[in-house]
Amino acid sequence: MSEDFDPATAASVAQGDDDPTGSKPTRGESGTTEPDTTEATADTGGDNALTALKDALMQTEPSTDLSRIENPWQPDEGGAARIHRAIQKMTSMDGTPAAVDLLVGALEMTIEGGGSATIEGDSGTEPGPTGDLG
Amino acid sequence: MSDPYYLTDGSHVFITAPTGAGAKFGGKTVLSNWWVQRAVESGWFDLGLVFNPKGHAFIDGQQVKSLKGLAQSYQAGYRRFNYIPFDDVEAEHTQVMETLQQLPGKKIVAHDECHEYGDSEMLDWCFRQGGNVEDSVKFDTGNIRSLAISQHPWDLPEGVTNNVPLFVLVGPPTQQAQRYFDVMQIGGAFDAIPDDLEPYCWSVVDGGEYIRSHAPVPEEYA
Repeated sequence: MSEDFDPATAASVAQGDDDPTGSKPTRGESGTTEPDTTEATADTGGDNALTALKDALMQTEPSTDLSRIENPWQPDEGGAARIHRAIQKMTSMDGTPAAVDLLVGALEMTIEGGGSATIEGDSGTEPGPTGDLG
Repeated sequence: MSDPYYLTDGSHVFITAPTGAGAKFGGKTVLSNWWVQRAVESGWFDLGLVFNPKGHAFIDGQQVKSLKGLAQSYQAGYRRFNYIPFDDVEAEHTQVMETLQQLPGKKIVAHDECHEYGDSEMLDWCFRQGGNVEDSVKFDTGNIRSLAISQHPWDLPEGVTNNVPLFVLVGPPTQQAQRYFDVMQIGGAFDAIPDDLEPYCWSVVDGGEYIRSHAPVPEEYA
């Protein structure tokens, strides 16, 4: 333990301060590490551009301090939020990938544009209450 | 079906199991492994750590053996840890908890084999105060929920046993367990636990009252 951090240093390094030993952050000490998906690939311009594009499309949200996220999962919210949460858990993604936002946004714009055209073509009668009034 | 309140709130827990030979006893550490992982994956806690003096390899989370490893793994994005002490267990436990006190968010810590460091001031702090520091001006972090795991409840100090509202008995109720329930004056809860429980089923007692018994946790956590 003589070469180990003290608790204050460990907490500082954990939260992003410079490592006093000068070593780069590793994926921990276990041999069973997960593959680093952000690692750069070949040293060619084309591969770097593809990697950058892929990373941009898979980006879920800007990096936020954990302390500023009150409850990222919002477990009390149901309905669409619960379905969204289920998808996040299944895909191990902490947010909505940018690519999905792109597609869904484009679809929403198309539907909104189509809805406006439909309203302009109405006969002018307003929808009224259904069912018996008496 | 949503998780029961005792899985999601911040009350400290004591997990024990009767001793005995054979495969039908044990299961405390497996339950705590499941409990910590579920707590973090469900979003109820920001960080989970199992302090693992026996070095069980089946504990989920990033395996670390030093504060440096813990810090670097946290910086790399891990939030569940299997901490294995290799030197002075009590000293390392104190330093790990001092580190966690300075990290943001709500934490859940399983103190496995806690009788080995039962006399430490830090273990006493964990149970007396660790759950009430959310609005503290001294500790700028969230609460630290503690799970005490031990086969020897009699070896634990009162600071621990008197500050665990939730008591979990893993396995069928035995005479050995009944003696502890009687000592803690919760014999009524023991009587309410079904006699025919299968091995590794776990029964929850809250504030001296029997709540319910659960099926064993999935085998993947063992």
